[in-house]
Amino acid sequence: MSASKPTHSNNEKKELQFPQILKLDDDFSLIQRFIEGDETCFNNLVHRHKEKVRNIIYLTLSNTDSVDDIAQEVFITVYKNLKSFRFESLFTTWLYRITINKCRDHIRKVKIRGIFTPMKEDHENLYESQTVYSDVPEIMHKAIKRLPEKLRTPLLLKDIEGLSYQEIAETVQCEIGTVKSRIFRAREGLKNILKPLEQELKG
Amino acid sequence: MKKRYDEIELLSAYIDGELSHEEEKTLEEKIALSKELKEKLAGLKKLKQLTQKAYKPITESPYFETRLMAEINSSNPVFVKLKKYSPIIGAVFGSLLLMIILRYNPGLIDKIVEEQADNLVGYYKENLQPLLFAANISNEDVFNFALNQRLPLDEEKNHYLLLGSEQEGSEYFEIKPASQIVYEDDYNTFVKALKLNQKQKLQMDSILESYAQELETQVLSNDKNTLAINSNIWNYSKAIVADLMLFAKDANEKEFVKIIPGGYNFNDNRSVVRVVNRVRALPDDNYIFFTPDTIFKENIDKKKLKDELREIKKQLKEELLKAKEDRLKTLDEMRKTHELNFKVFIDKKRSSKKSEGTDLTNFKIMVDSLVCRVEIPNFEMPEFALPDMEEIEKEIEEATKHLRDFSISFGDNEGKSGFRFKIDSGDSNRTFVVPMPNIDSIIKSQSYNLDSAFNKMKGFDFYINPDSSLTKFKMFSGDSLLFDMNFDFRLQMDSLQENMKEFQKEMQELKKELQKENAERELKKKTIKKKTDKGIEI
Repeated sequence: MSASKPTHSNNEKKELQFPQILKLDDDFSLIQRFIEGDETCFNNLVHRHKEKVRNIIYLTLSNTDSVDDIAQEVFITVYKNLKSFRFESLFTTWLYRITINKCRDHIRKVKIRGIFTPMKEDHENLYESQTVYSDVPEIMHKAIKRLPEKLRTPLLLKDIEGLSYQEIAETVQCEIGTVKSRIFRAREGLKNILKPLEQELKG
Repeated sequence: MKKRYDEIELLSAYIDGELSHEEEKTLEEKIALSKELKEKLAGLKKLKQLTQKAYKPITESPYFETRLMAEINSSNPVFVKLKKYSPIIGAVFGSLLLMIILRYNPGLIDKIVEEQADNLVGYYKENLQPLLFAANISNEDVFNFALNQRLPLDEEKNHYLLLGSEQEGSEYFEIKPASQIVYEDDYNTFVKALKLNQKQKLQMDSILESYAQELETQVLSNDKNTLAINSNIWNYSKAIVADLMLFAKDANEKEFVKIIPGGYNFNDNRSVVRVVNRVRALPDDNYIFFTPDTIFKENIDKKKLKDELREIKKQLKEELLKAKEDRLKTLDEMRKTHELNFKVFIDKKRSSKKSEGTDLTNFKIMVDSLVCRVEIPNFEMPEFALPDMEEIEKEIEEATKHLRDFSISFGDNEGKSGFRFKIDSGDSNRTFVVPMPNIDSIIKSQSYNLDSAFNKMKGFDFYINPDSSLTKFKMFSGDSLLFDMNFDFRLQMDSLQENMKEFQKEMQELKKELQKENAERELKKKTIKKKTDKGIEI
């Protein structure tokens, strides 16, 4: 995170402090070189961020099925639009925004498909609510999965990915206050979901 | 409540480390004082820990970059964009192109449609063969075609082509199996009715034969199940009738008058000749094609067709001559074995011209298991008056029926008392003895007596016992055809009357002469006797 965190002003300072080789490694430099025609820099960018992107997709969707496909789509979009990158925000913020948007597209498509197979979905929900879990992380996973995507994504970006409220706000494209409120509401929601399962959690 | 809610929200931000330094300080003071807030904080911290444990990082995807780079390299961005919009781009370009083409070439679509139609027409026009030639139509068939408007379509005479017209004026034709047709020997009836002699019959046959040759090319067919019927065939039927009637009138006017109903004027020979010539001169290369796909009107190079037919006939003749020498094959066999192979020339220019304004779709077709009927509305018919042939046919039938059913003959002289009167009605013979009328009394009687006698005779009901033949006889005597004959008969009787009077006079004179002669003879005898008596005396 530290490498991608610095703003323009910080960058200038670093220029003075660090040797040239380190400068070449940060996101902005890579992008700059890519724009100048060095296609290999894109490989570096992908290598740096792919696991983060894949994890965010996994957290947002709460399943691993389409993670790689969506991640591919994310980086293809990045590749196509990287030359018009304006260096106004962090590369990661831009990258995560694209990722979240791709995930939301995917969820929308799945929902539309679900309209045509409503019975199957109902059965799944019924099955889930009645199942007793012994594994705590699994209980939590299922509980978080039941939260609406609007609340779930900021909570997970905070608690698992460790993004700041500011970064989350930029990624999901809303105000910081909204992020704060959504994370709080997500936790309240989780508490309510977990109430009947208190015994298992304690065990 | 609201305050408490805000505090818990602050606690949530607090554990995330998102509060300002001052906010943190204030909240920490509050927590130190409140047991409830402490518990809440602990609960939130626990929840955060649990949340962090809920998701294990997913396993790495080793080929992710390779796959990605392959994907990126394979898709040129511009091409991908174009691909995405390709259906829209295609449609837009297509319609633009079409608009431009049609702008500068407005008749293109019509031309294409026409070309396709021509192709179809060409396909069905291929290898057409004269069906009626193959059917080997006889003079009798031609006669039946004229009178009953039916033609056999195949050699075995299994199917017939029937022409007809609806009351509203549209013409139609039907193809019927032979089993649906009532066959009558009209040709022989006609010959009998007209009392044609051998020479006249040959004449009539030659007329029919000339038409048979014309008819040979009127119906064509090929292996694609096409039936092409000349649109002139309807007119031919009428022309043959007109020609036949004219011939019949010349051959035997007396009998002709009998079989032709009053009101039809066949005296005007010129008009009939004109009609026949007009029909023969009509452009008859226009055929109506009936195919499995469609029905259309098309022209056929008739001259070529006829030439080819002539060629084939010539060949047939030669082969027949050979066959006669061999005495192995008959004409029928020759016809069967000889393969007709016609190629019809398509006059495309003419056909395309024709198809511009014709009503190709107006045919009405009815098909069931036995009959195929096609109605042709707005049919082009020459405008000339011809008698209703069905009516004539009926009259012929009516008139000839009696002739066929009855033969009346007078027996040998029965003496002075009367004469024998025989009626042969086919299934039974009857003989009547009619007493000889007293000629003297007839001679003496006035003309009104004669009239009344003939009026009575008209019914024949005072001579013959009523039976089936009698009723026919009554019809016959009351027939309009014979009604006018009474006048001629009366005139003949008048002349007979006069002859009888003369004969009576002559007889009376003869009688007187005879009496005189007798008297003279007796006188002579007496004198001779006297002489002989005297001689003896001497």
